[in-house]
Amino acid sequence: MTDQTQQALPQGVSAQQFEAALAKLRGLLGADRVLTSDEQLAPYCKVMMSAPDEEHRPGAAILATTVEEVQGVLKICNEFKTPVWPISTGRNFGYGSAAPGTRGQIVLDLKHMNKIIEVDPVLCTALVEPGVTYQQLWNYLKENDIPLWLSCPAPSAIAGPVGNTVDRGVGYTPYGEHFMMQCGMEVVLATGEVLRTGMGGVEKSNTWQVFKWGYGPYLDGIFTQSNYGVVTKMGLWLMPAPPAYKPFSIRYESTDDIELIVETLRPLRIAGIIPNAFVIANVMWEAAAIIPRSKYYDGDGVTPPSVLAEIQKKEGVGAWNVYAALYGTPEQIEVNWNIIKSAVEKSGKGRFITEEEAGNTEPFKYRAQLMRGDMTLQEFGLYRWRGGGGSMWFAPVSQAKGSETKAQMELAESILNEYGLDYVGEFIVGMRDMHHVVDVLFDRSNPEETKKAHECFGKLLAEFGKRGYAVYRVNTGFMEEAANLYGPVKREVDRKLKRALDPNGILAPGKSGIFI
Amino acid sequence: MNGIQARALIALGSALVLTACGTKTDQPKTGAGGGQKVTYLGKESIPKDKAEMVFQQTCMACHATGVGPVITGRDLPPEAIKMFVRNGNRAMPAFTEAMIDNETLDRVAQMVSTSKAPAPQPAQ
Repeated sequence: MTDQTQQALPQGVSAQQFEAALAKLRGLLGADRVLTSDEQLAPYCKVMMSAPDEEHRPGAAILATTVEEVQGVLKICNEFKTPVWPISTGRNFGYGSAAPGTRGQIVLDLKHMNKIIEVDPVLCTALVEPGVTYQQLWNYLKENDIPLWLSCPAPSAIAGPVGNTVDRGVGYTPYGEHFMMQCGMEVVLATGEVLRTGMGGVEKSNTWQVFKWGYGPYLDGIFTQSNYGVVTKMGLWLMPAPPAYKPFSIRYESTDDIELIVETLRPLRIAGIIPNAFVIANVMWEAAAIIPRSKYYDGDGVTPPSVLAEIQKKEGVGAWNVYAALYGTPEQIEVNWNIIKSAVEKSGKGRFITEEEAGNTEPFKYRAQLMRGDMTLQEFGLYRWRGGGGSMWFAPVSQAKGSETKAQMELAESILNEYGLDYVGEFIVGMRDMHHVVDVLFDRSNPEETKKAHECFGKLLAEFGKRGYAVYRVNTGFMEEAANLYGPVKREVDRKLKRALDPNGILAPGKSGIFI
Repeated sequence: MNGIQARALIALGSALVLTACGTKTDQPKTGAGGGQKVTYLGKESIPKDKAEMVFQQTCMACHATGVGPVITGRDLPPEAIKMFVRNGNRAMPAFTEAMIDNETLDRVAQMVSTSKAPAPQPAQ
């Protein structure tokens, strides 16, 4: 027994019960795959959110490598009523990273389940295990000269498709709505049963990765942002590398231009003229990728508007910066490019920047990489904007309408500024919606600022909620508050499903506010 | 954290003040398959060696692109490097044993510790 395991016990689990569970887990996995020392658990404790570390400290971490081992782990956890928090690569930065939702849960780390089971270059599909990273898949495609592109979130290289997709993350290519491009799952249920969704249950089927819906109720959705099962395999669709690719930026000089930007570009997105999940990033998001704030401002609190104006001028960034791309044959691109140019020119604002003009400069370069699913960690520059390692994504869903965008932006900015924090925001434009993504950045080494950030985040959720705006995803410190925004009936149905599928409540209790 | 580790962390922490703020890089473009030559962060192929792969595709993805501080050519102590990798540091994420095993991390720390300084970039 270690001091660590004595310190971090799950709620309602005694030290004896916990130790007995660990002893059985050692028997199943081997002692070297049951991690309990402070040193071994340290990487699982590193979070960026404002909630105290102690509230999310794991009791242990265990490494499973096969479906059978996952089944065995869940059997033991049921026996001892000991909760487990499954992670795939644990790179959910700003949403809780690898730490469990509540103190003492055992992290079930699936990083070693990292097989790329199949890539079909004809049907452009893949079947992967949860530990596979985007970098690993990218390497595989390159090494085997398979002309398929990935769609990945900004921490691409070290994150993975299963974790990102089951948390309903997004990317920046035409396949940017990742759950939409997911096809077929294998899920180990708390009972130990192994469910294959979609066509996966059909004996001898070869259509598991090509037809999402199967027959009867469509189940894949209930295994996303949930705690109803452990996803051990996932199919996804990959984009064929197009013959030509044209990334571009449109720069706008005034913060007030956001309304016009959305009204100009939304019809082009809905019509498929702009096929990718394009972004509209504000001045600080844009600048953070290339410089720390201290280059222009060493003070505390909100970055003054005069400093932002100076940054815009000297660093050559806009108040708003659109990044979009065209894909296809050169002829197709030419047609769509002319439509976009014409629409923007007609709007009277916006300056185009092409790849030819931007050359190899950042942030254009990393945006172009993200929009083709290449590996880059350049956007981690956001974390040095103020320094101190504090980051929480506040991500309310917005209609793709200019008036809505403006209202949300102004509300977010006013609340953040009230707490001395910057509005570092971006809109990721979906099919009809926009993910309004705000990085609540703070100095986590400063307890006072961390406290303010915590209060600020709570207020953001509450004030947006009053106006009918809710987040699509949230860090593990605010899951209850986010779940409440979706109403009591939704919460009750979530709970009924939980009780049916995981009667002992051993799987990730508290995920998305769901307990038995 | 023991005393030696704490001292190593403090020593490295004071050395790794975030200084990088470059806006331009001069790295080869990544390939797109279809027969194109693949290059990544200056390497003409994907590294086969595990430690080299971690160094090139993880460490250098931030520490050679201006996102994180320069760590090459600074005689950084291997123990301190390992501490940072396992614990993270402010914006830097932590890496578990499942991501980078101890043996590989030992080699990566040696590589970083004994690495040469990056070639000076032309003035922007």
